[in-house]
Amino acid sequence: MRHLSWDEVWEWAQGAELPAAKRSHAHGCPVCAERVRRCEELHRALVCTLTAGVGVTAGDDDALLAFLRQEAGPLLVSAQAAGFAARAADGSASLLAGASADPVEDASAGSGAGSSAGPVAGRSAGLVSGVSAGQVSGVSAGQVSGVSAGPVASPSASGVAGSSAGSRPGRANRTRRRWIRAAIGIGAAACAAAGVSWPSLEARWVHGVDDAGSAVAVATAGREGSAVGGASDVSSSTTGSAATGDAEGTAGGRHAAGRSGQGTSAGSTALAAADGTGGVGRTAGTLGAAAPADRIAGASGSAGGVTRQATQSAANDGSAGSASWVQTAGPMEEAPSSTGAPTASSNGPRAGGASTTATKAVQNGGPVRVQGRVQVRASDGRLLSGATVTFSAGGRVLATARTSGDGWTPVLSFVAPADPMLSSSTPSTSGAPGVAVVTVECPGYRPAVVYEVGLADGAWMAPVVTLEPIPSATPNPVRPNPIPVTSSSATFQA
Amino acid sequence: MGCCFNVNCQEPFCAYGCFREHAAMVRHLVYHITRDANDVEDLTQEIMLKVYRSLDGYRGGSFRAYVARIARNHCYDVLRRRQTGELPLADEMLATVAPGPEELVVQREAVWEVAQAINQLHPLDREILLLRHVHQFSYDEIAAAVNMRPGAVRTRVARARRKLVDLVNGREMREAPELG
Repeated sequence: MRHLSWDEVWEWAQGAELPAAKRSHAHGCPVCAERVRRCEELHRALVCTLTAGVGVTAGDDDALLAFLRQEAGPLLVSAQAAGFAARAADGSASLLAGASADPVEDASAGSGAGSSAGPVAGRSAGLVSGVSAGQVSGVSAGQVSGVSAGPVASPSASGVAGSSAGSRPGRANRTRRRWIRAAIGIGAAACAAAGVSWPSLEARWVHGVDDAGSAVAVATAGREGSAVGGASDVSSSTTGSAATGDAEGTAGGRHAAGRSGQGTSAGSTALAAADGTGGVGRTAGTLGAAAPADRIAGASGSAGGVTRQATQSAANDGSAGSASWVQTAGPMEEAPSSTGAPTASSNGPRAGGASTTATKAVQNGGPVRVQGRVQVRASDGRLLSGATVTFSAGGRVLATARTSGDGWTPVLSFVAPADPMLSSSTPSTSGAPGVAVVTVECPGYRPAVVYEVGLADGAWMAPVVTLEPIPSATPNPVRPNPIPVTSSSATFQA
Repeated sequence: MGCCFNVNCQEPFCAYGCFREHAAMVRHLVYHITRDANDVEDLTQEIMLKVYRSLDGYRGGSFRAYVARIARNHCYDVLRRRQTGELPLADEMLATVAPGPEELVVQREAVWEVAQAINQLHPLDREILLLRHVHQFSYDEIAAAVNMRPGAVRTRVARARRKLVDLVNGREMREAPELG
């Protein structure tokens, strides 16, 4: 039999069906098997490459949806006349459902970001319209980008889970980004001139839900440097079920946001949005199921500018009982929402006993013991002494050390918490893996932040991190306030 | 014309397939046409609004091809207004999943090789590959989106794939250490 053509192999690699004879031939023929292997690899790399750079989170879509509802609301009538809402027979107000409903509570500070257009208040049944538009990119993992909605527990209660963080028109977005760029540029220049590293970000959110049985960290921001790290774009989606409702935990990874998570559960709105403009949404209404979300905000932080300190709590008396939301923050820099402002939203009345699989992973995951040391070099190969290397995870600094003359740090031995997302996605692994963020700072060099450094229990690691020197600040005539966002200059070598 | 699988989904485009899927596709197209991550959200917003406002003008066929066509036209309009050249795909935009440092390096290198090869492709080929490989468009849908005949699209896809394989192979051959 003749070999499979490249077109056939490509289509097969994409999932198309082939005749049985050709399939059997492909398995037996070394030439075709090699072509298949090659095409599968290239297909995965293609998907990974073509989807990189555009992190999509449920929050983005929610914001876009809210914008559409806001901007295009008057068009609904004409759209319906054109048969637009053909499928929404039972809910013709598909577009206006979120807009017409009273926002449960809208407390936005600063420039007014953080408006929440939630579903109709008082809706008690648990409809999950959770969306996980996470992206798992990678050669091995391929790319998963999709929408996964949770099951509908009560079909009669149709609702639109419409939470949004910061619905603002495009012009306002652009203006805001320009201001953020300006702030970042000024901060970076000031730090570079002073020869100091960027201020670190130590923020920790604690999201306690008393009837969930465990307190779960919702958003944790670790140290933040000027460089956006390896920009690992990882997300995983965990879906849990509830006794009477449904809950879905969504971890939406985002480019340049390291790994992130946000919990979304059904029903009414509880929105907490820490937006770059200073808007801190408050939780309101009934609080949804607690979805653990270890979030490491890797957005490019604005240096120097302490924008807010927020401590807030909201007691809710919804169907799920009370819940508290406390954000305690040290200096917390602005993070542009386009690169992942820490946002945690939960929608919906919480069904009693709802827990996500990730919650269980938090409870079950064991610590990871790791030893290792790090060498820091300049991009020209020079070994750097005096560089500060910090391992952090879950908002805690696990270990920190300075490099000596040979560029190496002393041997670091630390215990890292098991990563809840990895634990939940890989339940079969015996040792729960952990993930740390490595921050390397050295005066005169751009700090490097490497996200998603995998940690295995008992492993020894000796990575080498390369730093790039900070060039002399010269005005850029095209963009006066360049964003000092660079790729992580760190290259990990085993 | 498909609705998303959640029967209670009542989002604006759901009668034409889920809004969120279209938004993801639009984001990817915008990014690969403009090569500017800062503009992705803004342009996506403008495109989706344009799509929504032009729902009356939709005359059947694949709705996502219709959306893709609007997205392409809008992006090229924006580029034409700016009169700027396209930018290369930035290294930091390459996503990786790294269970460990070693695998991170290997995976990142593989993706980087393909990214370099993709950069050498014609922009239209990149768009076609994006629609075909990532968003699983049929040849007919791609043809509707890029205003070509399906047969021409099929040929173009095959040539782009072949070129991609050749580029990656050539790079590997050049980078292989010489023996002896």
